[in-house]
Amino acid sequence: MDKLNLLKQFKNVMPDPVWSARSRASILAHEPKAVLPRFAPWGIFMNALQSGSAIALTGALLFLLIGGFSIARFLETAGGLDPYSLRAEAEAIDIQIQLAQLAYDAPAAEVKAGELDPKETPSFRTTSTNVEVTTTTPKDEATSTPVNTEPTIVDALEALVE
Amino acid sequence: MEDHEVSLIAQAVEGDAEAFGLLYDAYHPQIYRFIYLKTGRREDAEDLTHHVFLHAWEHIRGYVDRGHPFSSWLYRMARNAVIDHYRVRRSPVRLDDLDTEALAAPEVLEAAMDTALAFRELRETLRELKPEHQDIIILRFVEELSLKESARVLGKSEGAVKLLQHRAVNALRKKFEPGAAELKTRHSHG
Repeated sequence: MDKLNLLKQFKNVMPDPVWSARSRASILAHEPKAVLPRFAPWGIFMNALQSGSAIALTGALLFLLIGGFSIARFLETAGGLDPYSLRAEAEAIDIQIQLAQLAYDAPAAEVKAGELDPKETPSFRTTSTNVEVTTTTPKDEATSTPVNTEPTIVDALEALVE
Repeated sequence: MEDHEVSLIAQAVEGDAEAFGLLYDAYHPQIYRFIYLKTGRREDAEDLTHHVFLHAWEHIRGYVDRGHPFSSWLYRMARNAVIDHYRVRRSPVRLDDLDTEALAAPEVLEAAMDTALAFRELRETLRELKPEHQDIIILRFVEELSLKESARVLGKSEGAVKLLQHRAVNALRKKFEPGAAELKTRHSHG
């Protein structure tokens, strides 16, 4: 192939002598860098440190990825811990519980005390924190509204905000 | 390697600037040529050649003579420099922008060519090949390195280099087949 023979002519391409001289002088003005011995203790320590940290970081990253960690979800959760928003949520829950209590207490008040075994009469007493089942006596039925002295979620959150 | 060169390398490794200067004189034309044929621009070839030799001088103390030619160390750095150059630059050089002066100037070259156009066509076609095909063509047919030396430079076995050379020559031949230029023009316009 003639073209391949022609390629040999590229060997006549030479750099500009002025540039060559300037480049040579510029290069030799530098000092060669010192080389650390390959098996120096410091070199071994640094290599081990680099390898170890690389493996540890890779492991941590894999653990987070496989575990389904999501930075968006994490930030969303962190943002949701605002005491003011928690308080608003708690107030909303409170209202629902009170409404449920009203619906339950209304038919219970119509039941005659003598028709039921006092020891087995269940009644729901609701507080703002939980709903507990207690066995009430006829005496308790007479006073239909229980006295609630426990702190509510709202109280706790107010204390937290303060 | 000749004894004189081995001695120069040993002195350079010890930090002898004069010895490295002589190595620079001996090898910088071929490294420049290698880079020039791959980049197609004189400015890029000068910058990268300077970078290669500066890097070589700065790291000469770490050079270990394993019996390979000193040039294979330089060629490897030159290949990496060109790869980095294109990685950063990303946009390929337009063939129209190629510097024609560096090749057209030497009278001996003009005389050896049928026409300057043929020379230009060959150079442009070479640059259309894959980088590794360019490497093997330049090393084997321009610099006339042996298979063994080329294998050292490219980090491949001699068998792999033979295969690569075969493919590179075929690729170059296809570029020059009748109708290839027409196809290329039609493809570029279409």
